[in-house]
Amino acid sequence: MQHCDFVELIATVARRMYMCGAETRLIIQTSERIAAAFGYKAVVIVNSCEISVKLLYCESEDLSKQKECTTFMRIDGHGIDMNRLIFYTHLCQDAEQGIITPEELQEKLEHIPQFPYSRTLLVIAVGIATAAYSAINGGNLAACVTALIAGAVTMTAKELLKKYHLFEMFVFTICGMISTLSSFYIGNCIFELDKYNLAIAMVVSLLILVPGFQFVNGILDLFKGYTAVGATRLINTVMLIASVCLGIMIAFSMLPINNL
Amino acid sequence: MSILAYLMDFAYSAVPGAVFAMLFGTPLRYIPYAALGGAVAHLTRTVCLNNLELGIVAASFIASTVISVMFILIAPRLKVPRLVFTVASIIPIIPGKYAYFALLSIIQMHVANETKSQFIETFFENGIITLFVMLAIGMGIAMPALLFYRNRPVV
Repeated sequence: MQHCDFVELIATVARRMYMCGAETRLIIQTSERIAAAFGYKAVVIVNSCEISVKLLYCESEDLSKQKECTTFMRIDGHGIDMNRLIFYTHLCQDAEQGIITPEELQEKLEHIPQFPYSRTLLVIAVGIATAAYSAINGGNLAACVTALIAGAVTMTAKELLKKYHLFEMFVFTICGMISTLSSFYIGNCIFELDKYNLAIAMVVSLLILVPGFQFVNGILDLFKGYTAVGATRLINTVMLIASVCLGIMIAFSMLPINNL
Repeated sequence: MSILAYLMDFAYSAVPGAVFAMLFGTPLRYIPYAALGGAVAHLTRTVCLNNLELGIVAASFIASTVISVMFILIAPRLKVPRLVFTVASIIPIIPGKYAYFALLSIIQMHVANETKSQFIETFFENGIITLFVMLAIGMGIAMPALLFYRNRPVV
């Protein structure tokens, strides 16, 4: 493999790790360790919108004649996929143990693992999780059932909207609205919940809209000195929370507020 | 709280941890660890609130620190980044109830005809708790890692 191809390979790993939700320190460490495993020294810089990789290498035994090769890659998407993140860290470990060559690494990157769960399973699982979350927050049985149905409805809406590749904040706003409306009408009209249990059901049905990953990554990046990326992630978190709040406020404007 | 109530708390709070790990695409073999993390986080917070009589901010900080330390020890043995478990584990201790009441008070403030002081009070009370609990969770997750991984690889 040519040096310029290898630097592209390292940048691809770093970019994909960022896009599946890795913290900045993990991206830098993993990609630099992969380069080191194949005898290169790499300098990886992560920004909120691009990855830069500088590869240092010697073509002869004379260390003073060190050459370098640099590449940049734009980050044009964000997501959370722990299955892929684990796959990339395992590739790093395989490279360090000498199990794979750079060519095999490139080939493996072309066959990345797919999301391991079906959408239907996730809808059911989210319903059960919101019911359990309602129970730990002191909700009664009717509040748990309301949360179960509303949580499943919200997750279904999120999955349907995701199919159309809509703007993330728009999806969160719509889901916040659907969640609030569905939990209010189910809790009020079917189960006739009291104020406290209705509030619990409405809160917990929003559980899947908590941007926990961006928040924790943002805090971790800030603590570890990657201020720019950390701040970007925290701003993204704030924007997502604001989108959900907007959805809830739109829903409240349609509901009899005195019942809440 | 009785032992049974603590056990129920432990069992119920394992579910959101496991489901969030699934939502994040965590492979099935790692889901039990995320469930355990969620259960330990919520149980720790409940014990701190009820038995040690700490405030919710301090209790959330201790719970997230316990989770962070737990996965600093477990994750390298499984050869996966601990982020896979920690984020799913903190979900049961997210202060959703306080955030909701803060938001509700803003709306009630907007539509109320008479006195608004009680809504302003509710908003600030719940809003400040939400903000500080979120900060406590974030710092609880981040700080132990800084002590453990000063010059060592993360995975």
